[in-house]
Amino acid sequence: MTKEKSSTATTTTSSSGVELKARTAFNEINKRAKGQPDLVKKVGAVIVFDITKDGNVQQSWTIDGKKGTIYEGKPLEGTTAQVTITVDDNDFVDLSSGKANAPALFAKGKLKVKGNVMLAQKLSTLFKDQAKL
Amino acid sequence: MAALKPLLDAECGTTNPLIKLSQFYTRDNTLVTQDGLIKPATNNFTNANLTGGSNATIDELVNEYHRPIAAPNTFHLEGLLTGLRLADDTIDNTNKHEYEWTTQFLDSLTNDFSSFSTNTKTNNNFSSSMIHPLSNQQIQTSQNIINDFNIQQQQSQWMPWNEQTYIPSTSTFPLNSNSTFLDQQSSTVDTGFDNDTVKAAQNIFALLQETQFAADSEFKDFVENVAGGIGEQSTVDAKKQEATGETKDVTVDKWINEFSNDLSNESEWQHDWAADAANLSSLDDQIPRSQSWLRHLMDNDDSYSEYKFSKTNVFLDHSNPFEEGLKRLQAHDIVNAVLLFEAAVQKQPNHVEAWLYLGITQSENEQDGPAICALKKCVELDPKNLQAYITLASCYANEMLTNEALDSLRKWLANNDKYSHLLSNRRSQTTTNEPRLIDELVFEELQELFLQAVSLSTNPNDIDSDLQVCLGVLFHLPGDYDKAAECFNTAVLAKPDDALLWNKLGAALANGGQSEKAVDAYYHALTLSPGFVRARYNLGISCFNLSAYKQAVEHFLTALKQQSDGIGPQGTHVQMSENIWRTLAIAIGHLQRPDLEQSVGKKDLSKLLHEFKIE
Repeated sequence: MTKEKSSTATTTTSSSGVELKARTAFNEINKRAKGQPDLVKKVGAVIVFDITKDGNVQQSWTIDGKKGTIYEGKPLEGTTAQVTITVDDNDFVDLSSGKANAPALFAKGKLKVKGNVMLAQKLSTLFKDQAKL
Repeated sequence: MAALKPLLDAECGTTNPLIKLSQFYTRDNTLVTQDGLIKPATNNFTNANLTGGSNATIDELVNEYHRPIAAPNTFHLEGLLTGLRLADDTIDNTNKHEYEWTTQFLDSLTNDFSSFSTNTKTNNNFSSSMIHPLSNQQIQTSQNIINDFNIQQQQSQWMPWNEQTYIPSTSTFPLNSNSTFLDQQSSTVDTGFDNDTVKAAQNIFALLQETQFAADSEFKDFVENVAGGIGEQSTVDAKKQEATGETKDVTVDKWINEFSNDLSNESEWQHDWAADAANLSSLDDQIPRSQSWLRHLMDNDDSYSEYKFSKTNVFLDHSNPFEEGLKRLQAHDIVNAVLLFEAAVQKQPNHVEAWLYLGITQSENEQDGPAICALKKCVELDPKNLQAYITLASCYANEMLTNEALDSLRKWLANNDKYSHLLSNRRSQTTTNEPRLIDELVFEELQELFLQAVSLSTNPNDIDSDLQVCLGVLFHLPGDYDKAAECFNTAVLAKPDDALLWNKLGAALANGGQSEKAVDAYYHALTLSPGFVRARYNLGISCFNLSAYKQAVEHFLTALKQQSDGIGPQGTHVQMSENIWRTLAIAIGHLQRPDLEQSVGKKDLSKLLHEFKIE
C-alpha cells in the first residue's frame, strides 16, 4: 500500500533527501510525547502528515494515536490513516510551535485535510500545552 | 471560478436567485421562545432573537458575524430559505450551525469574491462539502449550494473544520422532530419559491459547466437534479419514507450511529457519500463498528473508575474533615482542602457533597484524573448533581475526551429543571439512555439546545452563569476558542468574584492565542484565590507562549511548591501534577540550562526553588 516507505522511526534520513524543518519539529513533538506516554493516545486516531515543500509532497509522518507512536513515513502495514493533512514545511513549523493554529491555516488554504476533521482537532495537544479550563 | 462571480456579486437590481436563496439562510429557526413562537426573524441573527438581551457578549458574538450588515440590503435569504424548507413539506429540523452558515454566508458575500475564484484550496473543500450537506436539512440540494459558498469564506476559523465533520444526511431524514417548528413553518411559507431554487440551481449548473468543477460529478449531479426540478427530491423523499420505516427515530438513530462510526473509521470520506438513500442498506454493515466504539468508551471509563487516595493523609483522624475542608477552601488553601475531602469520603463513602468538593478541588489543583474519579462517584450517588456535571464537562474537555464531555453537558441540561423541557421537546422519541456514541451530531444538537436555553431568559440582568459556562465548554471542544471566551466572559460579568470563571476565561483566551488577555484573566483569578494551582499553571503556559520562559518556570515552580506544601506536619504530601512537571521540563529546556534539566528529571523541587529564588 505504501510505495514510498521511508526509513524507520529512529533514523533521520529522509528518502527524498530534502532537508525539512518538519523533521526537527517532529523530534520536538516526540520529546514532548516521551514525557507523557498517554499524550499521543489521547489523539485517538491515526493521522498522517504529508509535508510539502515547493508544492510537492516530500515526506510523510504518521501519528498513530491508537498505538501511541509517532514515526516518519506512511502508516505501517495494517494501519489506515483516518485523517490526512497536507501542509507546507514552513507552515507546519508554525503550526507545531503554536504560532499558527490549524483552523486559521485551513481557512487560508494552507492546510488541506482529508478525513474526519474533528479528530484532527485533538492534535493541538501535541503541539503545545493547552490551558486548562 | 470567475464564472461564478456573477452569481455571487451583490448587485442591486439584479434578480440573482442566489441572493434570494441566501435570504432564507438568515432565518434562524432555532430561536423558539417559551410559548413556542419563532421569534420574528429579523434580517439576521440579531440580539433581538437571542434573548431579551441576555448579554452583551452574545451580541458581540453575533455582531462579529454581522459586521457587514449594510451590504445585505439585497440579500434576503430568509424568505427563500424558509420557502425551500417548507416546500419539502416535511419537518425541518433546523440545525444550530445553520445560523453560522448564514452569518458566514453574509460575510462571504461581502468579501472579495475574486478570492473565491482564485483560491485553489477551495477545490477540495468544494467537492467534499458538496457531498456533505448539513445534517438535518431537508433542502439538501439548495443547501449544498449555499454551503459551498460558505466554505469559501475566509474568516471563519471554526466553520470549515466543523463543516466537514457534519454528518451528511444523504437523504432528508428528520433526525429530530420539533413540533413547534413544524407548527410555525407551515403557516409562513410561500411555496412559490421552489421555482427560484430550481432556477438558481440551473444557473449554477450552467456556470459549473464552464468551470473546473465540471470534473466533480457528484456536485454536478446534485445541481442537475435540482435544475431538473423538484422531482428528484421527491424521489429522495419517497426513498426516505420507505427507509425510515415504522419507528423513524430508531432507524434514524441507528443510521446516525452507523454514519458517525463510518466517519471516524474511513479515511477517504468523499467516497462514502452518495446522495441517495440507497446507501442506507449498506450502512447496516456498519453496525458492528458501533460496538467497538462503545467498547472504546467503556475502556476510557475504566481508567476513571477508582479514586486513588493519597497514601498517607494526616487528616484521616480529623473529627469533621468535610467542614474543615470547606473552611480551607474558603481560605484558598486548596491543597489541604483536597486532603480533608479525601478524609471525608474515606470516613463516609456516601457523602455526596464531599465527593463533589473533592472533585472540584482536585480540578483546581490541576489534577483532572482524580477529579473525574471523584465526580463520577458523586453522580453515581446523586444523578441530579448539576455542579458535578458541569465540572465533569470541563475536566473531560481538558482531557480531550470529547464524547464524555458532551455527555456530561447533556446530562446537565437534562437534569436542570429550568431547561430540561427543551430536551424533552426535542428528543421525545429517542431514548436518552443509550450511551452517546457520536460526537459531531450530538455537538450540533447540544449547541442548539443550549442556545435555545439562553434565549429563554428574557431579563437582560438575569444571566445564568452556569449555562454560559456550559456553552463555553461546548464551544471549546471543537476549538472555537473565541466563542468560548465570549461565553466565559459573560459568565464572569454575572459572577465577578468567581476565580474559577476567570480561569476558564483565561484558558479560552489562551488557547485561542490571545495570551496577553489570558494573563490578565489569570491574574484576576489568582488575586481572588492565590492558592489556585491551575490558574498559576495556566499562567505559566501563557508566559511560555509569550516566550517569557524564565517567568514561566517561576510560575510552574510556585505551583509545584504550593502542591508540595499540601503537607501535613509530618511531611506527607499530595501528589504533584505530572502536567506541571512536564511543562516545567519543556520550559527549562528553553532556558538552555542543562544543569537544571537534571534537577527536573529527578524532581528535585527544593533545588529548583532555590535556584530561582522562590521561597
